[in-house]
Amino acid sequence: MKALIVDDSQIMRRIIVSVLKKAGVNDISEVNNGQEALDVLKQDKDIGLVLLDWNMPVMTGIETLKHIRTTNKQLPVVMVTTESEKERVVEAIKAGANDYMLKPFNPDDVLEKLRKYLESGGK
Amino acid sequence: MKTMIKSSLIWTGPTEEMSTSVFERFRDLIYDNSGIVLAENKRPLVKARIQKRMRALRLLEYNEYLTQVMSDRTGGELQHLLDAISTNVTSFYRERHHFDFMGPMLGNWLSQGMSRLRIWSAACSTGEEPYTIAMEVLEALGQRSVDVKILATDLAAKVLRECQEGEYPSARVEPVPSIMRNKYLIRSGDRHHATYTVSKELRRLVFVRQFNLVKFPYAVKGPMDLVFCRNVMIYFDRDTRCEIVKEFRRILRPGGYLFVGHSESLTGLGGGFTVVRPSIYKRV
Repeated sequence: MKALIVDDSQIMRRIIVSVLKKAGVNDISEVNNGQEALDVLKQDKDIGLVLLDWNMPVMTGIETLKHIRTTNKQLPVVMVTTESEKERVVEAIKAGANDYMLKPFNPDDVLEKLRKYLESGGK
Repeated sequence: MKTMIKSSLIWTGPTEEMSTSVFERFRDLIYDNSGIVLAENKRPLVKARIQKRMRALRLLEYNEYLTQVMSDRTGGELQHLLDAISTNVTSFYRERHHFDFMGPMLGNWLSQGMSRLRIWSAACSTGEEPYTIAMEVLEALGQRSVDVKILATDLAAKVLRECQEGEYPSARVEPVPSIMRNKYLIRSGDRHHATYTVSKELRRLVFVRQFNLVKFPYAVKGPMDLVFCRNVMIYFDRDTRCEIVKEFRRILRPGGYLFVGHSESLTGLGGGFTVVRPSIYKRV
């Protein structure tokens, strides 16, 4: 299983990497924004899980998600957001997000949440 | 060894004193999971707090409770222990001079065209602090439309439930000026047993999450404009305080403010802040 972390914060990427490693995922790609994520996804067909931040420069998480879904309906995408408003979560789910994580999170809770995607091998 | 007496109606208290080794194991467990430093002179306090939990579980030996905490893989009992140990003293408008400073400062920022405001109440306890902040923010905003979010976090799950509920008996809302009380708190009950509930307007701004301040780095991207972390760092050792301040510096935008408790100071905890007033620091 390979995972892609899309976040403009190096610290946030580091935290998510450590959570994924705890879950046994060692093959991890990291990018800074949505445009870079789309480029990586075009090249690398082994990615089975995407952790996508919401607020990023160049291309936001929700825009990136919509782009991903035009070509790939199956790839599990988990949105990472600080936004608690239901409208945004609903918007993400409508746009095809499989799940969401609210910051700040406890790494162990996130691990629990991600496990189902990791166990299914990203299907 | 028969120590659990679930059927008994009367719990008679622990059968033995807390030994030094058991105290030290509790102390280490609490430090590792919360950063709270408990010196030997806190043993009576630790005992008293743990006994409440032992009573609920009908346990008669400290050692047995320790085993229960350690063996609960869900972490649920550890959370109960941390809830019991952590101190949750708080009140509306606690250290009022912070809010006297914040109001005009927000007014300044808003008049300069600020459209997004992010505030973190890092040890929010039962909610008096974030709701006080929310009232002051709404007062400063007036009719302006600004994207405001107040993140309210605490280690203790129990107090967070109260924070989320936002219901307070009348004695607790006494420090709230009556004009603000009438505007932002909804009164119910009779004259003798009045309860005040925070209004939807306040609730809409406050976003409650459980968070451990001693697990680094923080899963918070920022930038924040204001961080309140008052009367918390006193429980931590110097290294932990340094790490916390470093994280606050990362998360705060330049020009943002950190508010600490009146008996706390950032002296010797790393640079990056200037003192504006005692216990109020500006991120450089």
